[in-house]
Amino acid sequence: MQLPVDVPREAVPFLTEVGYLDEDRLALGDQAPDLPLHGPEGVSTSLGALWANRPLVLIFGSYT
Amino acid sequence: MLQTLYEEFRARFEFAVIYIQEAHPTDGWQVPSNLVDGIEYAQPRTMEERRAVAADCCHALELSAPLYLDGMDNAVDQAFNAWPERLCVLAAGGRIVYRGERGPYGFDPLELEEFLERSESSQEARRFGGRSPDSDIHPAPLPS
Repeated sequence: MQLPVDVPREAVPFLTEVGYLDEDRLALGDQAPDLPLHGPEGVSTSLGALWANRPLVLIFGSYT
Repeated sequence: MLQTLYEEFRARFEFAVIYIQEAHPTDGWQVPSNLVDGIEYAQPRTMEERRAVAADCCHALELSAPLYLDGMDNAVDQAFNAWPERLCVLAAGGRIVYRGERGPYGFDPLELEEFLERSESSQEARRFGGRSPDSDIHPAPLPS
């Protein structure tokens, strides 16, 4: 994964830690792994439970 | 725009906001724009901390799509290489049928919208006997 040109050099250790420099593990057409998820109130579920009956749109992100 | 997409397509697609590790925590790579906006959070170290920040985020963005959190092992984030932000669509059954590029520059809700619209069109085509390259996003029901 190539760094965008506007990334400061001092951010590289952080980007390494969060995996930004890793190559993609999954490709289009791959079966997604069924991994656990945590609900906001503490109830757990999984990706498999969400994709069981309908297509699933995933929006990954954070506040900052 | 994400809220608009959710409202437009929620009848046909399951939506999930997956809250992952912070992109620009105060103890990581802080950015000036977050300081201007008063968005200052350290990287959560517990699920409770992550839940609290996630709640603040959805409240601020007025996003009502179902919210889920990645565990503190960041397993979902790592599996999808999602950090800092990413959009994906999985067919019923879990096959990846759309995967946007990584954010921030690759995070493209317009592209996602176009994909979802095309997927809906393929469903219509199939119902009336047409063919589409996206025809397996909704597997045909098994004969009873």
